Amino acid sequence: MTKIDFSFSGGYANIKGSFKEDLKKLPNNISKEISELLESSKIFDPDFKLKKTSFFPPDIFSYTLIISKEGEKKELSFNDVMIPETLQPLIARLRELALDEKYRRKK
Amino acid sequence: MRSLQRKHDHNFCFCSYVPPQVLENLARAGIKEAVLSINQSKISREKRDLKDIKTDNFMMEFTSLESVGKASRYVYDSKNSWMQRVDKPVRKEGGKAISDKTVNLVYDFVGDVREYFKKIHGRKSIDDANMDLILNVHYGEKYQNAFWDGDEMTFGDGDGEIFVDFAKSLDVIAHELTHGVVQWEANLEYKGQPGALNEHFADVFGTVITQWVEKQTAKNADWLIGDEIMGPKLSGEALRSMIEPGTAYDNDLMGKDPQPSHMKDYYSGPDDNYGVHINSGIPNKVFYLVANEMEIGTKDASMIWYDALKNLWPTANFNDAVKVIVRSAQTLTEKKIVPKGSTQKVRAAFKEVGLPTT
Ligand SMILES: [Zn+2]
Repeated sequence: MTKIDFSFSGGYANIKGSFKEDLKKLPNNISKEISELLESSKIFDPDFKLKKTSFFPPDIFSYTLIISKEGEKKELSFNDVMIPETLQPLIARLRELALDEKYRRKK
Repeated sequence: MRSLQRKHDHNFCFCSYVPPQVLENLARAGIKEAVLSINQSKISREKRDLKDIKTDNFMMEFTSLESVGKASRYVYDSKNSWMQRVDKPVRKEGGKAISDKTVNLVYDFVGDVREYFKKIHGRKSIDDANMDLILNVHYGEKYQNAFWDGDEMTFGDGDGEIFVDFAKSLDVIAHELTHGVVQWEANLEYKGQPGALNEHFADVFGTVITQWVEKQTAKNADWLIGDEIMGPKLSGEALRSMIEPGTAYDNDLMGKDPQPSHMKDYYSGPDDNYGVHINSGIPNKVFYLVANEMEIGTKDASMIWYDALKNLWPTANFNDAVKVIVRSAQTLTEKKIVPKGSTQKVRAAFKEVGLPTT
C-alpha cells in the first residue's frame, strides 16, 4: 500500500492543485509510472535531502508531499529551488495529475 | 565567484574585499548599497550551494554591487532537464538568430526590457551596474512557470493545454525581470503587503514595457497580464486585469480571479504568501486609474512609480507606498518631469481604492 498526498500552489499564474490517492486505486499504467518515479526519486533513501535555501524567489511553486508506504511515512514541504534532481520528475508528474484531476472533477 | 565566472563563460562577478561586518554596519546606518550588497551576497552564496558551485577563494565570499558585466544576454537551453545553464549558451549577445523560436523570442524580449529601462529610466540592466542577463529556456518537462531566482531567469514550456510557452510573452519576461529590479532597489519582502507591492511593481512594468514596445497608449492597451500564455483550455482568459482586478478569469480549472480592487475586499488569509498575487490588484487598479482615467498617461505614471521604487524599503506596506508614490509625484512635478496636478491625481486614485487606511 502506497498513499500519496500532494498539493502545490503559486507560480507566476498563482495556480493551485492537489492529488491524493492510493496507488492501488489508480489505473495500472499510472500506478506503475508513479511507483517507478517514486523509486527513482530516492525519497526513502537515508541520505535523501532537499536543497537548502532561505531565499524564496518570487513566482515559484510551493509544495507539500506526504507519502505513506508500508509503515513508513515521509512528509516534505518545499519550493521549486529546493527540489533535488532525482525528485523533479515525480513532482512534475504529480503537478500534472493534480491539474488533470482538478479539470476532470469540475468539468 | 571566480569559479562561477569561469563556468559560465561570461563576465559576471560581484567582487569586493569589504569584510561582511563592515557591510552590516553600513547597512544599519542606512547605506543602501550595503543593504543590497548583503542581500545579494546571501543570495549568491545560497545559489552557489544549491548549484554545487565551489568557491575556491574565501575572499570571494564578500560581494558588492561592483558588477563587471556588460548587460549582455546569454540564452541557455535546459533541453527539458531540470537544470539551469546547461552546456554553453545557444545564443549570446550579438549572435545570429537560431532555429529555436523560443530562444530568439526570449533574446528579443529581454533586449526590449533592457532597452526600456535604459532609454526611459537611464537604468543599466537589472542591477543598474550592467549585470549580464542569464536566461534559461525549455526548463523541465511541461513546466508551467517562469521565475527570476535572484540572478537569472528560467522559463518552462507550459503543458500546451492550460499554459503555453512562458517565454513567448513579453508581459511575462518584463514582469520577471522587474522582480530583479525590485530586488536591487526596494528589495520588498515576498509576503503580505510588501510582497503584494513586489508583485504590483512587476505587473506595472510588465504592462508598461508591453505598451512601450507595442506603441500602445493607456487608452488602447488591454491592461491584461498573462493573456498570451493561456493555452487552448483557457483561451480568452488572462491571469490579472489592471482595469478591473477580479475579472481576469472565471473558469472550471482556475476558479474565479480572487483579486480585490478595493481595500474593503482585502485578502488576509495565508494562501499565496498572504496574498502577494491577490492583493496586488489594489495598487494595480491605482496605477491604471492614474495612467488612464486621470489622464496622466502610462509613461508619466511609470516615471512616478519608478522613482517610488527607488525610495521604498523591504518591509514597506500599502500606506508607506502611498506616501512614497505621492512624494515621488511631488518631486517629479517640481522637476517638471510630470505635469502639474499629478500629485493630486495620484492621491485621488489611491482614495478610490480605500488607501491610505487609517
Ligand atoms: Zn511575480
